[in-house]
Amino acid sequence: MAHRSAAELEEERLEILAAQRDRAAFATLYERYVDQIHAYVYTLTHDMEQADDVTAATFTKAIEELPRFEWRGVPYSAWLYRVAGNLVSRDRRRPGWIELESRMLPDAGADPAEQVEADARAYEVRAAVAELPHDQRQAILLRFGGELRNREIAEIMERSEGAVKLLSFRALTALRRKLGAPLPAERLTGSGS
Amino acid sequence: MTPEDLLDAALESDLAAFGAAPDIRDLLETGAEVSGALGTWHLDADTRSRIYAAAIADAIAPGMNARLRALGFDRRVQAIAGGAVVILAALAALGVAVGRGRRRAPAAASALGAT
Repeated sequence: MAHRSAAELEEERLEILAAQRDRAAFATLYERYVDQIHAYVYTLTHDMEQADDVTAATFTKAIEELPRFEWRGVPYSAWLYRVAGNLVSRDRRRPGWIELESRMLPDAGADPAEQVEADARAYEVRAAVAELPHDQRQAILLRFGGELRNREIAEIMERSEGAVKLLSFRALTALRRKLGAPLPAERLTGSGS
Repeated sequence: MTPEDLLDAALESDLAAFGAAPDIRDLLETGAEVSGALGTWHLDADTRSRIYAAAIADAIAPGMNARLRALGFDRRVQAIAGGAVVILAALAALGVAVGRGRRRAPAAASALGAT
């Protein structure tokens, strides 16, 4: 799994400093993380409208807190995920529903038939993740969607690192049982690892 | 070593753990597929802009979006209003900057004249 390198973290630290000096520079951080945070919230809530609202609220909070933000050597996304997770917990009263992901962009340049198959499989995978118990779902989203380390996930979820490992193991075991082996192309490339 | 420790070590590219437990390979494969599926989540430009406008507008004028929603305005109106707030804020900032420039100008001119 690809975690952030020291050089990438340093680059991010500088981007945060730049955004603290000039709010317009925050757009770089927004562009990097908006898809991840939106996917995280949508998979937790199954509700596109709520995903839009919570994502916006997460970045509002990020902009408001920017002057007070202190770099702690972990990806900025760890903080964003924590804010988004808290907002989702606070907003649990609204009923959720699954809707088509009509606003997702297709992969440009891909063979249409293969693209349809890959999209269908990706949708199937995301739907399977969405059906996991809440804690397992959160652990999987933070680990494989956010590419965070166990200690960062443990902090966000307020669980021990051991508990996070166990949640990831159970979740992947359940997903494997449900989904079976990946598409052949996925197996050859091992994409995303 | 527990299965979850073994999987974790393999996910962290510990090749020894990977080799010691061939069954873990299936879970790694699924993990890679999940990672790929989550990585395909890309919002379109319109949605990205709308969410950003809403975030900025709420940071500048807290509660505005909630009030618009309560009045029955849809998301496009909220986005337009958000954009307007952002433009007004930018204009206000520009006005402040121009004002500061004007206030500083005489001082700068007199400083130049003094040399």
